[in-house]
Amino acid sequence: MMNSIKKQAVIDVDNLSGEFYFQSLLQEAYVKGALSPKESERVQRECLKLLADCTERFTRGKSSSVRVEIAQGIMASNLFTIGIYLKSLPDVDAALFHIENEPIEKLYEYGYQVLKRKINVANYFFNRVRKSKLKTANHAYNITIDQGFKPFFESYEINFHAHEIPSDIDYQLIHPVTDLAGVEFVIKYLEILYYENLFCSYFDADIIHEVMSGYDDAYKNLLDNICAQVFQNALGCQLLNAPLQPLEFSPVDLNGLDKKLKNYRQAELQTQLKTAAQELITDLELTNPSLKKYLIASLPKITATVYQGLASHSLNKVFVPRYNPNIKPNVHYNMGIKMPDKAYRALVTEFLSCRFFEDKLAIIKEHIKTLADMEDLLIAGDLESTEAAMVFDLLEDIELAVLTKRHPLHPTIDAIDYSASEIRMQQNLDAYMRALPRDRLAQILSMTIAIEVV
Amino acid sequence: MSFELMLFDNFLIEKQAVSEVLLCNRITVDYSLVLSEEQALELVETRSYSLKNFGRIEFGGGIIEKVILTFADTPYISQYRYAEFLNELVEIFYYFKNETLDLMSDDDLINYMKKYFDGVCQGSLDQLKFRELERMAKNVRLGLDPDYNDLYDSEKLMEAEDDDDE
Repeated sequence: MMNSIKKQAVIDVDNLSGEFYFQSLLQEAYVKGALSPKESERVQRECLKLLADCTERFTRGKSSSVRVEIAQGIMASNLFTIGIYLKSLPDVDAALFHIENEPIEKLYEYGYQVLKRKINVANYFFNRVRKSKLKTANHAYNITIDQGFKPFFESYEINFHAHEIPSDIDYQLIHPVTDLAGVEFVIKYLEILYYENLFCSYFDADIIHEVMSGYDDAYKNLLDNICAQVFQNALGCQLLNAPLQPLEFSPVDLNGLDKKLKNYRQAELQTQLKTAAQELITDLELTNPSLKKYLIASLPKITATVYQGLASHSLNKVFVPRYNPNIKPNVHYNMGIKMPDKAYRALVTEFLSCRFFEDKLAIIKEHIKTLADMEDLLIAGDLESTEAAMVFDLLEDIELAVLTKRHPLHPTIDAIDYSASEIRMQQNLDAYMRALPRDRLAQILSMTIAIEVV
Repeated sequence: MSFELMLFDNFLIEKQAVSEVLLCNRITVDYSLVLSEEQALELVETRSYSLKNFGRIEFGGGIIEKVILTFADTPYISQYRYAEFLNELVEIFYYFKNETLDLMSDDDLINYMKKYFDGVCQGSLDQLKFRELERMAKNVRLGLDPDYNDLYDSEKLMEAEDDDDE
């Protein structure tokens, strides 16, 4: 029996930075004694000489001095280029051997050649991404693929700015790319995006659109990842042993999932999801090993989401039912005719001057005949939340649904578009709705989807 | 181990720079302008200080020799304040390298300095720095011709108006 003896590496690869590979390698080698002080001094000296040469090329020999930040940028670019070459070597020992036995200028030249090849790799993945692009309304996704990489392929400058990423990337991946720079970052991002596209291509684009609309009606303006939601829904279907392609959940399905999963601890839940993911991979006949690895690697994140969804009884936000935003509403509600302005002004003046709330209620009961007037009065009436709740009690479910549709509680970021009175009314309505029994609330919320206010 | 950028202000490099400056004496002596070793060292230190002060870094020989040789034949310098004058010129040079956003080459900037110093400034460093080079830098930043002077334009306009009146 032959046991091959492997040399113990002095340097811990985990301590090396992906973005600043060369610097971190030198640092580690120096600390661990793999690089003598004399050698490290030589490396520094040669790096500065390389910087001087590059600076002269940068100024085309017309200026003997440059601003410090420009020199720093050129230095970072040089070190990045050398790092790219060292990373392309089989292991850290080989990289150290090259640092010790090759002039820095040579390493830079080798790195420069590797960089050129890497741009071709980036181009390859970009073409794959474009070919596998998903038909979706998500703006961030579309603009990142259509426009975001143009600056990179048009103006990526490998002589003096190799470490920069001249691109406008808005779309977020399941696993964000970190610890990489320049062309390496772009390659990794495009590679991952290609795997995500590949997974989504197993499902119908219209169904994905409906899933995302179920996730959020305004998903086209969000920066959320599409593949993550599709994968989550697919996992849910797999757990239910339901067909995968529809990616659909009925309330009964969600109850079933809740019952099935709620007793698991997080680690057990992850095991369940991993089994489901492996079955899913088999069922969909996914063959790309990188895609499989990528999906499995995203399970801890998804497990945390599912676990939270179970704990907060909001599994419908994790395994989202599909929603088709193009389905026309089947109820048309007329808000009614508003009373004349003069009469309304007199009414509001009287309403505001009332000392007791009973008097205000009496005014409402006597004079308010349409929901249009009621809405105006609720905004103008300056009501406390308890008073507003008593007014809301006078309304039918459909009227509450209409008000909810017209006055959803907007997050603070949108609050600037509304007056203080409108925001107060939205808050009062939201508080009232939250206090309703769950069944009635669900009924009202389902009405909001079917209603169109005319 | 640090990869921070640094200025080579160690003894050996300064000594080499001083000897390069002193070599210029061979040419400037024809104009009765000579620097002592002490003055040359001071000039090299001024360069290092200016580079640091204006956030710049320099590789290679630097511009001191170019400044000395370009200004050697100016009629407005005498041996009496020669060293002080060169120190100021070096500082002015680096200041305006920044002010012109590095859009001018070393040679062009030194030649402009010489042209204005010998011309309209008539040997005044203050006028050179605060009037002519400021205007020139502004022109360069705005993408105009470095020599462009709206003051001259308005003077010409006024002269033309006077001619019309006559």
